[in-house]
Amino acid sequence: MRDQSPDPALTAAPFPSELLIWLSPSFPVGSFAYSQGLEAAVDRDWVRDRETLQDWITALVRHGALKNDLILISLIMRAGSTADVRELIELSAVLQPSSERAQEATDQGRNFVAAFRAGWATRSPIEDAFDTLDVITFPTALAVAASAHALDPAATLETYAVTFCTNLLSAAIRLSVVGQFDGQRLMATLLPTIREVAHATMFATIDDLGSATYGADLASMFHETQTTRLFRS
Amino acid sequence: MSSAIYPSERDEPREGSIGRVRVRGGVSVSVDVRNGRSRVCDLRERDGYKVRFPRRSDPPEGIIINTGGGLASGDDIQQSFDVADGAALTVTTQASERSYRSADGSTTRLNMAARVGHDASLIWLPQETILFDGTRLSRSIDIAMASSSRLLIAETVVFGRIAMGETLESGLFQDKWRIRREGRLVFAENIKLNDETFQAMTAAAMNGGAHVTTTLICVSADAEDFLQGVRSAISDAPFQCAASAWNGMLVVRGLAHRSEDVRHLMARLVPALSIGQLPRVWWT
Repeated sequence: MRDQSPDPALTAAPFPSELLIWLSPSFPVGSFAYSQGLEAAVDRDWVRDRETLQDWITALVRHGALKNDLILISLIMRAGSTADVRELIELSAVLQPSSERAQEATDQGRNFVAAFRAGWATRSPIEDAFDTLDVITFPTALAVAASAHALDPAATLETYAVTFCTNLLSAAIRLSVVGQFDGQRLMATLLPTIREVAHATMFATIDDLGSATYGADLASMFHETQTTRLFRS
Repeated sequence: MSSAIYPSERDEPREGSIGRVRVRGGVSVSVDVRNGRSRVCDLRERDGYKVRFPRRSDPPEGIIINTGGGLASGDDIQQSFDVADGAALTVTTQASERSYRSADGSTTRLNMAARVGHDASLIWLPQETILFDGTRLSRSIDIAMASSSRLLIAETVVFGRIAMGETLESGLFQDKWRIRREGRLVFAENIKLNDETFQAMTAAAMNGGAHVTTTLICVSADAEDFLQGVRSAISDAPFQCAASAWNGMLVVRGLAHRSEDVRHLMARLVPALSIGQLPRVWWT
């Protein structure tokens, strides 16, 4: 990891409380049940300490699932039509590398929509996507919700990115890869990278979609046949 | 300096590039059914690309030959296949494909598009693609298939000329797959490797230092039924390899150090899917 001095353009955006609520553990999405294949990476000793955990998460942030999630969120929040929104949601649902990752993305998406409808529904036409699509992923459901409430895209991207990483960190702590304090050292180190990628995806086009995390995709497949499991992915 | 480069890497040929004649090649093959057998009913070959059917087999087994030997920067290759209702087609390549260093900064395009009709079957099993350091290759696969049809695709990519100890330090490799069943998108994959990712590839979440990546996908109404058989076929593979099945698809992914190991695995994996055989040219 290169050393980075804080870039003034990348300092924290004002954060709407809606985001903190929708992405908090009290919002019944069920993220705690998933590890995105991290559990298999730990089982195979690919991830075993703070350094290897940081490498793992950094790869997902810069070159993997998180980068693609952020691009899709950004595109939905800038979409010109509801047809574009539908297409991006459908793409997100099938852009999953394995059975468990598809399950993880769409189970959480369905849970998010149900919880959102319970207390946060608006009359915004973008919410039609919740009624008409039978499959939706967590990041794209969040993007629709944030658009319906006219939330700031930069804040939405950064909050989602941070939550993605803290979910992985929680999983790693439960898998005894790192302790609580080492976890906070890791998050503090990772935050500039998270901000940088969240910021870069603000202006992303659909051609920027793309991952290079072959190992993480493979890990999510290995997880399916792992005998002892704490997580569903 | 920020290393997350968005929007997408631009494809800008450098100033003063010499006027090499770029290839606009590829083959187009259509098969239909006549007297109960699949047969080639239309065949087009362009700009150094040929396809041969050396044996009178059913289904027809086409071998694509790139007489130009390799992919050079700026080439634009389009392979198209049309499999009519009830017909079957297998296509492979005569040899591994080399994607050379981009001489002028321009990107090579390599597209495969296919339509697979009702109760039809398409097997696309090209030999591996070898990326030379500094290559710029943008590849896509676009399939439109009927829900009663069957599809098998396997693609293997080699990062650098392994025998020479070459690794990839710069360049671009994009791979975009889209599979539609009855018009509905069922599978998408976007790979993007660039200068920044090449620096990070040895991370376990990336390719963990492996030089060869392989992806196989089988789509059919019964694809998921083959998961157990496929898992036993890959269980003693001498490299990282795993399988998953969902939504009428079966996907196998592998990270290897040698392309020979992937070939040996394919010889066991393809029969386990009971859709067809590994083309003989793979072994000659």
